[in-house]
Amino acid sequence: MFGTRSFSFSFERSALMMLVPCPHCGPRNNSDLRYVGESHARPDPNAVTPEEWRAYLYWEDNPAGSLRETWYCRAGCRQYFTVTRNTATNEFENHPLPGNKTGAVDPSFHYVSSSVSPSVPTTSNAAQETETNS
Amino acid sequence: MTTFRQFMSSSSLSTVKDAGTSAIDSLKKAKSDPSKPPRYSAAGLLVKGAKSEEWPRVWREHDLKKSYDVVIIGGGVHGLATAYYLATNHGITNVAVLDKAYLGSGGSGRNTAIVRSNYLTPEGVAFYDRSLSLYNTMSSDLNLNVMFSERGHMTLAHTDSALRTMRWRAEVNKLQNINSSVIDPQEVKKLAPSLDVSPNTRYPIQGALYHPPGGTIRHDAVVWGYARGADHRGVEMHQQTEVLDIMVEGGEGPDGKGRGGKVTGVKTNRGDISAPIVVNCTAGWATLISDMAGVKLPINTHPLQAAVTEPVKVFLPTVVVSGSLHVYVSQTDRGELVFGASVDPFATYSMKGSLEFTEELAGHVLELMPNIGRMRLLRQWAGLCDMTPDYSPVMGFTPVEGFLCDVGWGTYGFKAGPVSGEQMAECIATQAVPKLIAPFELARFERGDLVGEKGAAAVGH
Repeated sequence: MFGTRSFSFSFERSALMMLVPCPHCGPRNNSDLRYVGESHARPDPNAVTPEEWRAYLYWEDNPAGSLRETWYCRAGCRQYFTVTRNTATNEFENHPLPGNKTGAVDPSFHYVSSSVSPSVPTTSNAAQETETNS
Repeated sequence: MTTFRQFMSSSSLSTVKDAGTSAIDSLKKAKSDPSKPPRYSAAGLLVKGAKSEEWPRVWREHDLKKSYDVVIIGGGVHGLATAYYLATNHGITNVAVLDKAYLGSGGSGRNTAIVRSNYLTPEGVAFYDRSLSLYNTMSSDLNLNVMFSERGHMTLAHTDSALRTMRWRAEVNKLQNINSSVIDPQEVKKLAPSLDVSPNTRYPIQGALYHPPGGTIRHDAVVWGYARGADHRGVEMHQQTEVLDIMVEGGEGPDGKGRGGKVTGVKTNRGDISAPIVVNCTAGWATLISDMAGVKLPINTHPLQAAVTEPVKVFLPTVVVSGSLHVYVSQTDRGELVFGASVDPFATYSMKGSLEFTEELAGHVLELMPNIGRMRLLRQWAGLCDMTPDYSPVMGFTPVEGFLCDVGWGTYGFKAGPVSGEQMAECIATQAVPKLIAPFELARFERGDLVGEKGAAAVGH
Protein backbone atom coordinates (compact mmCIF):
# COMPACT_ATOMS: atom_id res chain seq x y z
CA MET A 1 0.00 0.00 0.00
CA PHE A 2 2.95 2.34 0.44
CA GLY A 3 5.16 2.20 -2.61
CA THR A 4 4.69 3.32 -6.16
CA ARG A 5 7.36 0.94 -7.36
CA SER A 6 8.10 -2.66 -6.62
CA PHE A 7 11.66 -3.79 -5.96
CA SER A 8 10.50 -7.09 -4.57
CA PHE A 9 12.23 -9.29 -7.14
CA SER A 10 13.14 -12.51 -5.41
CA PHE A 11 16.90 -12.37 -6.02
CA GLU A 12 17.09 -8.70 -5.12
CA ARG A 13 20.38 -7.71 -3.54
CA SER A 14 21.77 -4.42 -2.48
CA ALA A 15 24.82 -3.22 -4.29
CA LEU A 16 25.74 0.04 -2.57
CA MET A 17 26.81 -0.28 1.03
CA MET A 18 24.91 2.01 3.36
CA LEU A 19 23.54 1.86 6.90
CA VAL A 20 19.91 2.88 7.24
CA PRO A 21 18.69 4.19 10.61
CA CYS A 22 15.68 2.07 11.48
CA PRO A 23 13.85 3.73 14.39
CA HIS A 24 13.17 0.32 15.95
CA CYS A 25 16.22 -1.79 15.11
CA GLY A 26 18.94 0.86 14.94
CA PRO A 27 21.39 1.17 12.05
CA ARG A 28 20.99 -1.75 9.64
CA ASN A 29 22.73 -2.56 6.39
CA ASN A 30 20.52 -1.41 3.53
CA SER A 31 20.28 -4.97 2.21
CA ASP A 32 18.15 -5.72 5.29
CA LEU A 33 15.61 -3.16 4.10
CA ARG A 34 13.60 -2.50 0.98
CA TYR A 35 13.60 0.97 -0.53
CA VAL A 36 9.97 1.94 -1.04
CA GLY A 37 10.54 5.32 -2.63
CA GLU A 38 9.83 8.98 -2.21
CA SER A 39 7.37 9.73 0.54
CA HIS A 40 4.32 11.46 -0.93
CA ALA A 41 1.01 12.04 0.85
CA ARG A 42 -1.54 9.63 -0.60
CA PRO A 43 -4.75 11.30 -1.77
CA ASP A 44 -8.10 9.95 -0.59
CA PRO A 45 -8.89 7.11 -3.03
CA ASN A 46 -12.63 7.83 -2.76
CA ALA A 47 -12.40 11.50 -3.62
CA VAL A 48 -9.52 11.60 -6.08
CA THR A 49 -9.76 12.05 -9.87
CA PRO A 50 -7.86 9.62 -12.13
CA GLU A 51 -5.46 12.43 -13.09
CA GLU A 52 -4.65 13.21 -9.46
CA TRP A 53 -4.16 9.53 -8.71
CA ARG A 54 -1.75 9.15 -11.64
CA ALA A 55 0.12 12.24 -10.49
CA TYR A 56 0.48 10.58 -7.08
CA LEU A 57 1.65 7.34 -8.69
CA TYR A 58 4.09 8.66 -11.26
CA TRP A 59 5.54 12.13 -10.67
CA GLU A 60 8.76 12.20 -8.66
CA ASP A 61 10.76 15.04 -7.10
CA ASN A 62 14.09 13.21 -7.49
CA PRO A 63 16.21 16.00 -5.93
CA ALA A 64 20.00 15.91 -5.69
CA GLY A 65 19.80 16.77 -2.01
CA SER A 66 17.34 16.29 0.81
CA LEU A 67 14.71 13.67 0.12
CA ARG A 68 12.00 12.34 2.43
CA GLU A 69 11.70 8.68 1.66
CA THR A 70 10.11 5.49 2.96
CA TRP A 71 11.94 2.27 3.80
CA TYR A 72 10.59 -1.12 4.79
CA CYS A 73 12.63 -3.00 7.41
CA ARG A 74 11.98 -6.41 5.91
CA ALA A 75 14.61 -8.42 7.79
CA GLY A 76 14.13 -6.70 11.13
CA CYS A 77 11.00 -5.17 12.64
CA ARG A 78 9.01 -5.34 9.38
CA GLN A 79 7.83 -1.78 9.85
CA TYR A 80 7.64 1.06 7.34
CA PHE A 81 9.35 4.29 8.36
CA THR A 82 10.19 7.63 6.81
CA VAL A 83 13.56 9.35 7.03
CA THR A 84 15.35 12.21 5.30
CA ARG A 85 18.47 11.44 3.29
CA ASN A 86 20.75 13.55 1.16
CA THR A 87 20.73 11.77 -2.21
CA ALA A 88 24.02 13.35 -3.25
CA THR A 89 26.01 12.14 -0.24
CA ASN A 90 23.77 9.35 1.16
CA GLU A 91 24.04 10.93 4.63
CA PHE A 92 20.86 10.60 6.68
CA GLU A 93 19.89 13.95 8.10
CA ASN A 94 18.26 14.00 11.48
CA HIS A 95 16.89 10.60 12.19
CA PRO A 96 15.44 8.74 15.13
CA LEU A 97 17.15 5.74 16.70
CA PRO A 98 15.93 3.44 19.47
CA GLY A 99 16.06 5.31 22.78
CA ASN A 100 16.48 8.62 20.99
CA LYS A 101 13.01 9.93 20.27
CA THR A 102 14.19 13.46 19.56
CA GLY A 103 15.80 12.42 16.30
CA ALA A 104 19.10 14.10 17.11
CA VAL A 105 22.08 12.91 15.10
CA ASP A 106 24.74 11.10 17.05
CA PRO A 107 27.94 12.89 15.87
CA SER A 108 30.10 9.90 16.73
CA PHE A 109 28.29 7.68 14.26
CA HIS A 110 28.97 7.87 10.52
CA TYR A 111 26.57 6.13 8.23
CA VAL A 112 28.69 6.51 5.11
CA SER A 113 32.19 7.78 4.55
CA SER A 114 32.29 11.48 3.72
CA SER A 115 33.93 11.28 0.29
CA VAL A 116 31.48 12.52 -2.31
CA SER A 117 31.54 12.63 -6.07
CA PRO A 118 32.65 16.24 -6.75
CA SER A 119 30.55 16.67 -9.88
CA VAL A 120 27.25 16.18 -8.12
CA PRO A 121 25.37 19.41 -7.45
CA THR A 122 23.72 19.73 -4.08
CA THR A 123 20.64 21.67 -3.18
CA SER A 124 19.89 23.42 0.04
CA ASN A 125 19.03 21.38 3.03
CA ALA A 126 15.79 23.04 3.93
CA ALA A 127 13.83 20.08 5.20
CA GLN A 128 15.04 19.16 8.65
CA GLU A 129 12.11 17.11 9.69
CA THR A 130 11.82 13.57 10.82
CA GLU A 131 8.81 11.42 11.03
CA THR A 132 8.17 7.83 11.82
CA ASN A 133 5.14 5.82 10.98
CA SER A 134 4.32 2.23 10.66
CA MET B 1 54.89 -16.59 -60.81
CA THR B 2 55.90 -13.19 -59.54
CA THR B 3 58.22 -12.87 -56.58
CA PHE B 4 57.28 -10.86 -53.56
CA ARG B 5 59.78 -8.17 -54.61
CA GLN B 6 58.31 -7.94 -58.11
CA PHE B 7 54.84 -7.85 -56.71
CA MET B 8 55.72 -5.01 -54.33
CA SER B 9 57.49 -2.99 -56.98
CA SER B 10 54.86 -3.43 -59.67
CA SER B 11 51.36 -3.27 -58.36
CA SER B 12 50.80 -2.46 -54.76
CA LEU B 13 53.29 0.33 -54.28
CA SER B 14 51.95 2.25 -57.22
CA THR B 15 48.44 1.74 -55.93
CA VAL B 16 49.46 3.00 -52.53
CA LYS B 17 51.25 5.89 -54.20
CA ASP B 18 48.14 6.82 -56.19
CA ALA B 19 45.96 6.56 -53.16
CA GLY B 20 48.58 8.49 -51.22
CA THR B 21 48.56 11.24 -53.81
CA SER B 22 44.81 11.56 -53.66
CA ALA B 23 45.02 11.60 -49.87
CA ILE B 24 47.63 14.36 -50.08
CA ASP B 25 45.32 16.26 -52.41
CA SER B 26 42.48 15.94 -49.95
CA LEU B 27 44.82 17.04 -47.16
CA LYS B 28 45.84 20.08 -49.19
CA LYS B 29 42.20 20.86 -49.80
CA ALA B 30 41.59 20.50 -46.10
CA LYS B 31 44.36 22.97 -45.39
CA SER B 32 42.78 25.52 -47.68
CA ASP B 33 39.40 25.03 -45.96
CA PRO B 34 40.01 24.50 -42.23
CA SER B 35 36.30 23.99 -41.60
CA LYS B 36 36.44 20.68 -43.49
CA PRO B 37 38.91 18.28 -41.86
CA PRO B 38 39.96 15.37 -44.08
CA ARG B 39 38.20 12.04 -44.34
CA TYR B 40 39.88 9.14 -42.59
CA SER B 41 41.23 6.46 -44.93
CA ALA B 42 43.89 3.76 -44.98
CA ALA B 43 45.88 5.72 -47.53
CA GLY B 44 45.67 8.86 -45.42
CA LEU B 45 46.95 6.86 -42.46
CA LEU B 46 49.96 5.66 -44.50
CA VAL B 47 50.81 9.17 -45.68
CA LYS B 48 50.42 10.62 -42.19
CA GLY B 49 52.58 7.86 -40.75
CA ALA B 50 55.31 8.39 -43.35
CA LYS B 51 55.40 12.15 -42.79
CA SER B 52 55.01 11.92 -38.98
CA GLU B 53 52.51 14.76 -39.12
CA GLU B 54 50.25 15.81 -36.29
CA TRP B 55 46.62 14.87 -36.78
CA PRO B 56 44.18 17.77 -36.77
CA ARG B 57 41.83 18.01 -33.81
CA VAL B 58 38.74 15.88 -34.34
CA TRP B 59 36.35 18.69 -33.48
CA ARG B 60 36.87 22.41 -32.94
CA GLU B 61 36.52 24.72 -29.96
CA HIS B 62 34.25 27.73 -30.32
CA ASP B 63 33.34 30.86 -28.40
CA LEU B 64 29.79 30.75 -27.13
CA LYS B 65 27.50 32.73 -29.45
CA LYS B 66 24.63 34.89 -28.19
CA SER B 67 21.95 32.86 -29.93
CA TYR B 68 21.37 29.51 -31.58
CA ASP B 69 18.41 27.94 -33.37
CA VAL B 70 18.62 24.85 -31.15
CA VAL B 71 20.44 24.30 -27.85
CA ILE B 72 21.00 20.66 -26.85
CA ILE B 73 21.88 20.01 -23.21
CA GLY B 74 24.04 16.93 -22.79
CA GLY B 75 26.96 15.91 -25.01
CA GLY B 76 26.50 12.16 -24.98
CA VAL B 77 25.35 9.80 -27.70
CA HIS B 78 21.79 11.14 -27.59
CA GLY B 79 22.66 14.84 -27.70
CA LEU B 80 25.35 14.45 -30.36
CA ALA B 81 23.22 12.13 -32.52
CA THR B 82 20.36 14.64 -32.35
CA ALA B 83 22.73 17.41 -33.46
CA TYR B 84 24.24 15.23 -36.19
CA TYR B 85 20.88 14.25 -37.68
CA LEU B 86 19.56 17.83 -37.38
CA ALA B 87 22.47 18.93 -39.55
CA THR B 88 22.53 15.92 -41.89
CA ASN B 89 18.86 15.16 -42.47
CA HIS B 90 17.29 18.57 -41.94
CA GLY B 91 20.01 21.14 -42.72
CA ILE B 92 19.71 22.83 -39.31
CA THR B 93 23.32 23.66 -38.40
CA ASN B 94 23.03 26.65 -36.04
CA VAL B 95 23.03 24.23 -33.13
CA ALA B 96 24.96 24.19 -29.84
CA VAL B 97 25.59 21.04 -27.80
CA LEU B 98 26.42 21.90 -24.17
CA ASP B 99 28.08 19.54 -21.72
CA LYS B 100 29.19 20.41 -18.22
CA ALA B 101 32.15 18.01 -18.45
CA TYR B 102 33.64 16.45 -21.60
CA LEU B 103 31.79 14.76 -24.47
CA GLY B 104 30.70 11.25 -23.57
CA SER B 105 31.53 11.70 -19.88
CA GLY B 106 28.20 10.38 -18.61
CA GLY B 107 26.28 7.25 -19.50
CA SER B 108 27.77 7.17 -23.02
CA GLY B 109 31.17 6.30 -21.61
CA ARG B 110 29.98 4.17 -18.69
CA ASN B 111 27.66 1.63 -20.29
CA THR B 112 28.67 -1.91 -21.18
CA ALA B 113 28.38 -1.24 -24.94
CA ILE B 114 25.84 -3.97 -25.71
CA VAL B 115 23.30 -3.44 -28.51
CA ARG B 116 20.23 -5.55 -29.23
CA SER B 117 16.63 -5.21 -30.39
CA ASN B 118 14.86 -8.20 -28.79
CA TYR B 119 12.47 -6.18 -26.64
CA LEU B 120 9.06 -7.09 -25.32
CA THR B 121 6.57 -4.49 -26.56
CA PRO B 122 6.00 -3.99 -30.31
CA GLU B 123 6.76 -0.28 -29.80
CA GLY B 124 10.08 -1.08 -28.19
CA VAL B 125 11.03 -3.69 -30.78
CA ALA B 126 10.36 -1.40 -33.75
CA PHE B 127 12.31 1.39 -32.11
CA TYR B 128 15.43 -0.56 -31.12
CA ASP B 129 15.51 -2.42 -34.43
CA ARG B 130 15.85 0.90 -36.24
CA SER B 131 18.68 1.74 -33.85
CA LEU B 132 20.44 -1.54 -34.61
CA SER B 133 20.21 -0.93 -38.36
CA LEU B 134 21.76 2.53 -37.86
CA TYR B 135 24.56 0.98 -35.79
CA ASN B 136 25.12 -1.54 -38.61
CA THR B 137 26.05 1.13 -41.15
CA MET B 138 27.51 3.60 -38.69
CA SER B 139 31.19 3.07 -39.48
CA SER B 140 30.72 4.05 -43.12
CA ASP B 141 28.15 6.77 -42.35
CA LEU B 142 30.43 8.50 -39.84
CA ASN B 143 33.74 7.62 -41.56
CA LEU B 144 35.02 6.29 -38.24
CA ASN B 145 35.49 2.68 -37.19
CA VAL B 146 33.05 2.12 -34.33
CA MET B 147 34.10 -1.55 -34.08
CA PHE B 148 30.57 -2.95 -34.23
CA SER B 149 30.75 -6.68 -33.60
CA GLU B 150 27.56 -8.59 -34.39
CA ARG B 151 28.45 -11.53 -32.17
CA GLY B 152 25.04 -12.63 -30.96
CA HIS B 153 23.23 -11.97 -27.71
CA MET B 154 21.98 -14.66 -25.34
CA THR B 155 19.58 -14.09 -22.45
CA LEU B 156 19.61 -17.07 -20.08
CA ALA B 157 16.49 -18.39 -18.37
CA HIS B 158 16.89 -20.10 -15.00
CA THR B 159 13.23 -20.59 -14.13
CA ASP B 160 10.06 -21.74 -15.88
CA SER B 161 8.58 -18.27 -15.68
CA ALA B 162 11.70 -16.72 -17.21
CA LEU B 163 11.52 -19.25 -20.05
CA ARG B 164 7.87 -18.33 -20.57
CA THR B 165 8.80 -14.63 -20.90
CA MET B 166 11.56 -15.59 -23.36
CA ARG B 167 9.01 -17.42 -25.54
CA TRP B 168 6.72 -14.41 -25.39
CA ARG B 169 9.57 -12.10 -26.38
CA ALA B 170 10.68 -14.43 -29.18
CA GLU B 171 7.17 -14.46 -30.66
CA VAL B 172 6.82 -10.67 -30.44
CA ASN B 173 10.25 -10.37 -32.10
CA LYS B 174 9.41 -12.82 -34.91
CA LEU B 175 6.20 -10.93 -35.71
CA GLN B 176 8.35 -7.82 -36.19
CA ASN B 177 10.82 -9.74 -38.37
CA ILE B 178 13.59 -9.72 -35.75
CA ASN B 179 15.92 -12.73 -35.65
CA SER B 180 15.24 -14.11 -32.17
CA SER B 181 14.49 -17.59 -30.87
CA VAL B 182 14.43 -19.75 -27.74
CA ILE B 183 17.23 -22.33 -27.55
CA ASP B 184 17.82 -25.24 -25.17
CA PRO B 185 20.83 -25.73 -22.82
CA GLN B 186 22.72 -27.92 -25.31
CA GLU B 187 22.62 -25.16 -27.91
CA VAL B 188 23.67 -22.68 -25.20
CA LYS B 189 26.69 -24.87 -24.52
CA LYS B 190 27.57 -24.93 -28.22
CA LEU B 191 27.45 -21.14 -28.48
CA ALA B 192 29.32 -20.46 -25.24
CA PRO B 193 31.27 -23.55 -24.14
CA SER B 194 32.52 -21.92 -20.94
CA LEU B 195 29.00 -21.76 -19.45
CA ASP B 196 28.03 -24.38 -16.89
CA VAL B 197 24.75 -25.83 -18.21
CA SER B 198 24.65 -28.85 -15.88
CA PRO B 199 21.48 -29.34 -13.83
CA ASN B 200 23.48 -29.46 -10.59
CA THR B 201 23.98 -25.72 -10.15
CA ARG B 202 21.97 -23.56 -7.80
CA TYR B 203 20.17 -21.85 -10.70
CA PRO B 204 20.36 -24.34 -13.61
CA ILE B 205 20.22 -22.88 -17.11
CA GLN B 206 16.91 -24.02 -18.59
CA GLY B 207 17.20 -22.29 -21.94
CA ALA B 208 17.97 -18.96 -23.51
CA LEU B 209 16.61 -16.31 -25.84
CA TYR B 210 19.15 -16.15 -28.65
CA HIS B 211 19.35 -12.98 -30.72
CA PRO B 212 22.08 -13.23 -33.41
CA PRO B 213 21.97 -9.54 -34.56
CA GLY B 214 22.89 -8.31 -31.07
CA GLY B 215 26.47 -7.54 -30.20
CA THR B 216 28.91 -5.00 -28.87
CA ILE B 217 30.29 -1.71 -30.15
CA ARG B 218 32.98 0.71 -29.03
CA HIS B 219 30.94 3.32 -27.19
CA ASP B 220 33.59 6.07 -27.16
CA ALA B 221 33.98 5.79 -30.92
CA VAL B 222 30.24 6.30 -31.36
CA VAL B 223 30.45 9.53 -29.35
CA TRP B 224 33.54 10.71 -31.25
CA GLY B 225 32.01 9.75 -34.61
CA TYR B 226 28.83 11.75 -34.00
CA ALA B 227 30.80 14.67 -32.58
CA ARG B 228 33.12 14.72 -35.59
CA GLY B 229 30.26 14.37 -38.06
CA ALA B 230 28.27 17.13 -36.38
CA ASP B 231 31.36 19.37 -36.23
CA HIS B 232 32.01 18.91 -39.96
CA ARG B 233 28.49 20.06 -40.65
CA GLY B 234 28.78 23.24 -38.58
CA VAL B 235 27.35 22.22 -35.21
CA GLU B 236 29.19 23.72 -32.22
CA MET B 237 30.11 21.52 -29.28
CA HIS B 238 30.80 23.35 -26.02
CA GLN B 239 32.47 21.28 -23.31
CA GLN B 240 32.88 22.48 -19.72
CA THR B 241 29.70 24.52 -20.23
CA GLU B 242 27.21 23.95 -17.47
CA VAL B 243 23.59 25.01 -17.81
CA LEU B 244 22.61 26.97 -14.71
CA ASP B 245 19.05 27.87 -15.63
CA ILE B 246 16.54 27.69 -18.46
CA MET B 247 14.69 30.92 -19.28
CA VAL B 248 10.98 30.40 -19.72
CA GLU B 249 8.25 33.05 -19.90
CA GLY B 250 4.46 32.98 -19.78
CA GLY B 251 4.09 29.77 -17.78
CA GLU B 252 1.72 29.22 -14.88
CA GLY B 253 4.45 28.31 -12.39
CA PRO B 254 6.80 30.59 -10.41
CA ASP B 255 9.00 32.95 -12.52
CA GLY B 256 6.79 32.27 -15.54
CA LYS B 257 8.01 28.69 -15.81
CA GLY B 258 5.99 25.52 -16.15
CA ARG B 259 2.95 24.54 -18.20
CA GLY B 260 2.00 26.97 -20.97
CA GLY B 261 5.36 28.75 -20.89
CA LYS B 262 7.72 29.33 -23.79
CA VAL B 263 11.47 28.81 -23.78
CA THR B 264 13.61 31.86 -24.56
CA GLY B 265 17.09 30.56 -23.81
CA VAL B 266 19.51 29.15 -21.25
CA LYS B 267 21.91 30.62 -18.70
CA THR B 268 25.31 28.92 -18.58
CA ASN B 269 28.54 29.41 -16.66
CA ARG B 270 29.97 30.95 -19.87
CA GLY B 271 27.14 33.40 -20.50
CA ASP B 272 23.53 33.49 -21.61
CA ILE B 273 22.25 32.05 -24.86
CA SER B 274 18.92 32.85 -26.46
CA ALA B 275 17.30 29.97 -28.29
CA PRO B 276 13.71 29.11 -29.23
CA ILE B 277 14.29 25.37 -28.79
CA VAL B 278 16.09 23.70 -25.88
CA VAL B 279 16.45 19.90 -25.79
CA ASN B 280 17.18 17.98 -22.59
CA CYS B 281 19.37 15.02 -23.61
CA THR B 282 20.88 14.36 -20.20
CA ALA B 283 20.89 11.19 -18.14
CA GLY B 284 21.17 11.16 -14.38
CA TRP B 285 20.63 14.90 -14.13
CA ALA B 286 17.50 14.91 -16.33
CA THR B 287 15.22 15.86 -13.45
CA LEU B 288 17.44 18.76 -12.37
CA ILE B 289 17.50 20.17 -15.94
CA SER B 290 13.73 19.75 -16.40
CA ASP B 291 13.10 21.41 -13.04
CA MET B 292 14.86 24.49 -14.45
CA ALA B 293 12.09 24.73 -17.06
CA GLY B 294 9.34 23.85 -14.58
CA VAL B 295 8.62 20.47 -16.16
CA LYS B 296 7.99 17.57 -13.80
CA LEU B 297 9.29 14.12 -14.75
CA PRO B 298 8.36 10.60 -13.55
CA ILE B 299 12.00 9.72 -12.95
CA ASN B 300 14.12 8.35 -10.11
CA THR B 301 17.89 8.36 -10.48
CA HIS B 302 19.67 5.11 -9.60
CA PRO B 303 23.34 4.26 -10.11
CA LEU B 304 24.32 1.15 -12.03
CA GLN B 305 27.70 -0.43 -11.36
CA ALA B 306 29.90 -2.25 -13.82
CA ALA B 307 33.34 -3.83 -13.73
CA VAL B 308 36.04 -5.13 -16.07
CA THR B 309 38.65 -7.89 -15.68
CA GLU B 310 42.21 -8.26 -16.89
CA PRO B 311 42.51 -9.23 -20.58
CA VAL B 312 42.69 -12.93 -21.45
CA LYS B 313 42.52 -15.03 -24.60
CA VAL B 314 39.14 -14.89 -26.35
CA PHE B 315 36.88 -17.64 -24.99
CA LEU B 316 33.41 -16.04 -24.85
CA PRO B 317 32.08 -15.56 -28.39
CA THR B 318 28.64 -14.12 -27.52
CA VAL B 319 27.11 -11.64 -25.12
CA VAL B 320 25.67 -13.56 -22.15
CA VAL B 321 22.93 -12.08 -19.98
CA SER B 322 21.32 -13.62 -16.93
CA GLY B 323 18.36 -11.80 -15.50
CA SER B 324 17.94 -14.00 -12.47
CA LEU B 325 21.63 -13.77 -11.56
CA HIS B 326 21.67 -10.02 -12.21
CA VAL B 327 24.64 -10.02 -14.52
CA TYR B 328 25.62 -9.52 -18.14
CA VAL B 329 29.00 -10.48 -19.55
CA SER B 330 30.78 -9.81 -22.82
CA GLN B 331 34.40 -10.06 -23.87
CA THR B 332 35.96 -7.02 -25.52
CA ASP B 333 38.29 -7.13 -28.50
CA ARG B 334 41.17 -6.67 -26.07
CA GLY B 335 40.06 -9.78 -24.19
CA GLU B 336 38.72 -8.10 -21.07
CA LEU B 337 35.46 -9.39 -19.63
CA VAL B 338 32.97 -6.56 -19.08
CA PHE B 339 30.37 -7.18 -16.38
CA GLY B 340 27.25 -5.16 -15.76
CA ALA B 341 24.67 -5.59 -13.04
CA SER B 342 21.28 -4.23 -12.08
CA VAL B 343 20.70 -0.72 -10.81
CA ASP B 344 21.37 -0.15 -7.13
CA PRO B 345 18.18 -0.67 -5.13
CA PHE B 346 17.64 2.90 -3.94
CA ALA B 347 17.65 6.32 -5.59
CA THR B 348 20.86 8.32 -5.25
CA TYR B 349 23.12 10.62 -7.27
CA SER B 350 26.24 9.17 -5.67
CA MET B 351 28.42 7.17 -8.06
CA LYS B 352 30.54 5.45 -5.44
CA GLY B 353 31.33 1.81 -6.01
CA SER B 354 31.17 -0.80 -3.29
CA LEU B 355 32.87 -4.04 -2.31
CA GLU B 356 29.45 -5.59 -1.76
CA PHE B 357 28.76 -5.14 -5.47
CA THR B 358 31.97 -6.82 -6.68
CA GLU B 359 31.53 -9.65 -4.22
CA GLU B 360 28.02 -10.46 -5.43
CA LEU B 361 28.93 -9.93 -9.06
CA ALA B 362 31.85 -12.33 -8.80
CA GLY B 363 29.66 -14.89 -7.07
CA HIS B 364 27.05 -14.76 -9.81
CA VAL B 365 29.60 -14.86 -12.62
CA LEU B 366 31.25 -17.91 -11.07
CA GLU B 367 27.90 -19.66 -10.91
CA LEU B 368 27.72 -19.23 -14.69
CA MET B 369 31.38 -19.77 -15.52
CA PRO B 370 33.19 -21.65 -12.72
CA ASN B 371 36.39 -21.88 -14.77
CA ILE B 372 37.31 -18.19 -14.51
CA GLY B 373 37.77 -18.24 -10.75
CA ARG B 374 41.34 -17.02 -10.91
CA MET B 375 40.68 -13.98 -13.08
CA ARG B 376 41.26 -10.60 -11.48
CA LEU B 377 39.08 -7.50 -11.71
CA LEU B 378 40.86 -4.44 -13.08
CA ARG B 379 38.40 -1.74 -12.10
CA GLN B 380 34.79 -0.92 -11.38
CA TRP B 381 32.70 2.17 -11.98
CA ALA B 382 29.12 3.43 -11.85
CA GLY B 383 26.85 5.49 -14.08
CA LEU B 384 23.51 7.13 -13.38
CA CYS B 385 20.30 5.67 -14.81
CA ASP B 386 17.00 7.53 -14.99
CA MET B 387 14.36 4.98 -14.13
CA THR B 388 10.76 5.61 -15.24
CA PRO B 389 7.76 3.70 -13.83
CA ASP B 390 7.30 1.68 -17.05
CA TYR B 391 11.01 1.31 -17.98
CA SER B 392 10.39 3.18 -21.25
CA PRO B 393 11.89 6.57 -22.10
CA VAL B 394 10.32 10.03 -22.15
CA MET B 395 10.69 11.64 -25.59
CA GLY B 396 9.29 14.60 -27.46
CA PHE B 397 7.36 17.69 -26.44
CA THR B 398 6.65 18.85 -22.91
CA PRO B 399 4.04 21.26 -21.52
CA VAL B 400 6.61 24.08 -22.02
CA GLU B 401 6.75 25.23 -25.64
CA GLY B 402 10.21 24.82 -27.15
CA PHE B 403 11.46 22.54 -24.37
CA LEU B 404 11.90 18.96 -25.55
CA CYS B 405 12.97 15.90 -23.63
CA ASP B 406 14.93 12.81 -24.58
CA VAL B 407 15.37 11.35 -21.10
CA GLY B 408 14.38 8.50 -18.81
CA TRP B 409 16.39 5.89 -20.66
CA GLY B 410 17.02 3.77 -17.63
CA THR B 411 19.46 1.06 -18.61
CA TYR B 412 18.76 1.15 -22.38
CA GLY B 413 20.13 4.56 -23.35
CA PHE B 414 23.20 3.61 -25.33
CA LYS B 415 21.41 1.03 -27.49
CA ALA B 416 18.89 3.64 -28.52
CA GLY B 417 21.29 6.53 -29.16
CA PRO B 418 21.25 6.66 -32.98
CA VAL B 419 17.51 6.20 -33.49
CA SER B 420 16.51 8.62 -30.74
CA GLY B 421 18.85 11.21 -32.25
CA GLU B 422 17.29 10.67 -35.66
CA GLN B 423 13.73 10.81 -34.34
CA MET B 424 14.35 13.79 -32.04
CA ALA B 425 15.92 15.67 -34.97
CA GLU B 426 12.80 14.98 -37.03
CA CYS B 427 10.64 16.04 -34.10
CA ILE B 428 12.53 19.35 -33.79
CA ALA B 429 12.68 20.05 -37.52
CA THR B 430 9.06 19.23 -38.37
CA GLN B 431 7.55 20.25 -35.01
CA ALA B 432 5.51 17.04 -35.15
CA VAL B 433 6.00 13.83 -33.18
CA PRO B 434 7.34 11.01 -35.44
CA LYS B 435 5.37 7.78 -35.32
CA LEU B 436 8.26 5.76 -33.87
CA ILE B 437 8.49 7.86 -30.69
CA ALA B 438 4.80 8.78 -30.30
CA PRO B 439 4.25 6.03 -27.66
CA PHE B 440 6.99 7.52 -25.46
CA GLU B 441 5.62 11.05 -25.00
CA LEU B 442 5.52 12.58 -21.52
CA ALA B 443 1.74 12.96 -21.57
CA ARG B 444 1.30 9.17 -21.36
CA PHE B 445 1.71 9.44 -17.61
CA GLU B 446 -1.22 11.87 -17.44
CA ARG B 447 -3.35 9.52 -19.54
CA GLY B 448 -2.18 6.40 -17.71
CA ASP B 449 -1.16 4.89 -21.07
CA LEU B 450 2.17 3.29 -20.12
CA VAL B 451 4.50 1.20 -22.31
CA GLY B 452 5.57 -1.60 -19.96
CA GLU B 453 9.08 -2.65 -20.92
CA LYS B 454 10.22 -4.13 -17.61
CA GLY B 455 9.95 -7.70 -18.89
CA ALA B 456 12.70 -7.02 -21.42
CA ALA B 457 15.11 -5.40 -19.01
CA ALA B 458 18.47 -7.11 -19.30
CA VAL B 459 18.34 -8.03 -15.64
CA GLY B 460 15.54 -7.83 -13.12
CA HIS B 461 15.58 -4.37 -11.57
